[in-house]
Formats: sequence, structure tokens, C-alpha cells
Amino acid sequence: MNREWLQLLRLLSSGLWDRPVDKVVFFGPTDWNGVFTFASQQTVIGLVAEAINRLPADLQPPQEAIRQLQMLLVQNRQRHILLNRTLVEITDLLQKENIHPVLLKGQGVALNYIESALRQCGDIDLYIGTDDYQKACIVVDRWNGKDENSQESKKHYHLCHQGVNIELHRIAECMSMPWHNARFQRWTRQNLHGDNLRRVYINSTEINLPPFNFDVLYIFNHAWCHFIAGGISLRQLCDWARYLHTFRTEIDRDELKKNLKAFGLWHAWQLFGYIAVKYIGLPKEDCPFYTNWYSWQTERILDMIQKGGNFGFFQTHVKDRPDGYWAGKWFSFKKMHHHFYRLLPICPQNVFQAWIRFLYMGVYRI
Amino acid sequence: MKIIEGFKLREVMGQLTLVGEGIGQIDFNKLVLFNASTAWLWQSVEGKEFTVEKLATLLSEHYGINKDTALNDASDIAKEWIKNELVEE
Repeated sequence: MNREWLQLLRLLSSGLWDRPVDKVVFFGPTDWNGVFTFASQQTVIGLVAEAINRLPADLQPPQEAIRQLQMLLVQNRQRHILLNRTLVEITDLLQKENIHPVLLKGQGVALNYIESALRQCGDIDLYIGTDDYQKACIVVDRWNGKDENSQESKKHYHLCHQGVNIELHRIAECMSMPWHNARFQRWTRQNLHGDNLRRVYINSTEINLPPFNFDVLYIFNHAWCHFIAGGISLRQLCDWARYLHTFRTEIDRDELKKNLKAFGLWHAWQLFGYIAVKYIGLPKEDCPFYTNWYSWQTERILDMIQKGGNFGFFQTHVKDRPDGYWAGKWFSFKKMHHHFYRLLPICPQNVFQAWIRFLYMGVYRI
Repeated sequence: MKIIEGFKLREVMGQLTLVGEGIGQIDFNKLVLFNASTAWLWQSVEGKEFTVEKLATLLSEHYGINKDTALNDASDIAKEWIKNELVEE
């Protein structure tokens, strides 16, 4: 394993669980630029900075680099504040119209970190459901002004409000296989409507969160879908690992097992579980259905995460998509097939399902 | 003078750091690090009107330094705070 990557994993594990850093891997000269590049690509710079602060002074990076990290931490904290403020504003707005959004991932997941501000934040995802979806879009457009850059897909309506990306979800997620998807949509309706929701307070406003057993599977599935579709960063595994740890006593393992098998995610869960335990530091007992049977496959997955980074954006062998429509289609076709080829020995069934969906969506969009 | 609203003193990587967290300061993009005495001074005048003389008195009483030195230090600190738009006159 590359030395800087190993150092990153050790720092990440320390920052994520508030544990001392394994100093041994820092003896001798350290290529800090290499470590920071990985931290940035894996969107875990906050956790890494926190851990660097625990290293003895003689093993820490130069002061100039520390200053840059401090600046990034301050900016990330400000970003959290902005996102929470926007979340509260839009939640109040929708609730006044008798629409009750459910916060997915993001700022809700950040609450499970030892310090929320250390999680690199992204956008705001709000589940609305099909019934109130059109009304919610009208309400937010009235609030935000009709934005030319707003986009709509089968899954959600995307808008940007004062630099914050917001997605209003008609559906929470879409699964590759129709029978999995039908079941998933039924399951979503059961969990995200009615009395099952959890409630937390952010800036004194009540925010709805999904129930534990929905959330833990949803966060996992979201990461897995992105992994199959192109790539993920370690941050997504950190979100999942923190969730598993924080709610280890609330998660109903029998129900989880039943759902994982019903959605065809059992094998995938065990693959990610091994990485979360071995490389990210999740206690083994907090990882339901942990096994080390697939260590070879998980080493390959970790290698793909290392090389691809956040959403697979940093794969060096991938060039930019060409401008022309058909050239772009051909480019995507080749890129995805290369990706699927690498995934095939790891999870053949999931790759086959994703491949069918990829071809279907490719033709559907022509 | 008075501290501009929206700043919060936090520990970032073990150093006392001023973070713009209020509505008006969310785009504040300077890294302001305080040592222990400046941080103490900042906290002492948070939410209050103050002058350079008041800062000097606080420094002199808390750290037991003579008034001239305290006045020089207070003046330098106040200038920095004004230059970085942390306080308004």
C-alpha cells in the first residue's frame, strides 16, 4: 500500500473516532502534499486535520500547511452554518404550506460525527414524496425565484439558493432492478411518511429524519449505488460507519438482514463492512454481518476508491467528455464498460444489474 | 469601538481562531489566530463598547504590566482589529 495512502487512513481513523494517531507510519520524511491530495480527493480534510493536530510537533507538517488546513476548517465550519441556516429556512417555508420534508443524508448525518463541522459538507437533500412534490417545487421557486439552472430528473428537483445546492426528492432512491425498485418504493413510503420519523433540532427548528433502520440502509445503498455508477470517496463510508456506531443499539439487525436480502444488497454490505472495520476503524461489533471472507475483493474496492476519489472524479485514465452528442454517448459507454469490467470480479451480480440499467437509461435518453 | 457582530472564538487545530459565523460574517475569509492574551482581551470586551485605554487597563490589571507597555500593546491590538474589520469605531 502506498505510504501516503496508509498515512491518510491512519489519520482518518484517528479523526473519525477521536483516537490517538498511529505514529509509527509517520516516522521518516512524509510527503504531506501527497497526504493532503488524498484527503482532498476523499473529502475528509477536516477529519485529517483534526488528527494531524494530535501528532507530536516534530511529525506535523510545516506551519504553512497547518495554516492552510486551519483556513479550510474555518471555511468548512462557515459552510455548515450556511447549510443549516438554509435548511431551517426551507423547512419552515415548506411546513407553513403543510409539507413536511425529511432530511436525507447531509446535515443529518453530520450530527453523528464527534464534531459535525469536521465533516465536509455538500448539499441539502429533502425527501418530499410524490403527493406534495409539485406543490413543494412551486413553493421553493417562489422563494428562490425561478432559477435558469434548476434541473429536474425522475428522482428530484435541483435548485441553487445563495450558493447552496438543494434537491427536493420525489423519490428517495431508484434501484436498478424493477422488482427491487418496486419493493424499495413501498418501503420508502412506509418509512418516510407518518409517525416513524425521528426528530432533531437544528437551530431550534424541528427537522424530520428517517427512522434508524431505513436510514442505515439508505446511507449504505446511496454509497453503494455511487460506487457502482462511478466511484465514491471515503467520506461516504465514514458517514455510514459513524451511523452504525452511533445507533448500534437502535438498529434492528433482523429487520436489516431481511431488507438487505430483499434488495439484493447482502453481499455489497459485507464488502463495505470489511473496509469500514479494517481501514476506517469501525469497531467490529458495531458492524452487523461483518465477515472477512471477501478480503481480496475489498482490497480491490479500496484501490478503486483510492484512485477514483469523490464520485470517481479523480481517475487519471479518464479524459474529459467530448462536446458532441454522439461522441459524448460513446465516451460514456466506453468509460462505464471499463468501470464495470473492473467491478465484475468483485460483485458480478450487481454489475450485471447496473449494466442492464445503464443500457436501458442510455437508450431511454436518446 | 465595538466588536462587529457575528464572530465566534473557537479552537481550530489547537489554536484560538476567530470564525465569522453570523449572518453578516459568513463570507469572512481571513484566518485570524489569537494568542491566549489577545483571546482573553477579546472575550473581555465582547458585546461592550470599549476604547484603547480600556484595553490597556484590562491588560495592565490582568497581566500586571506597566501602563505604558499596556497602552502600546493595546494600541497595536486595536489597530489590527480595525484593519481586519473585526471591530467598528
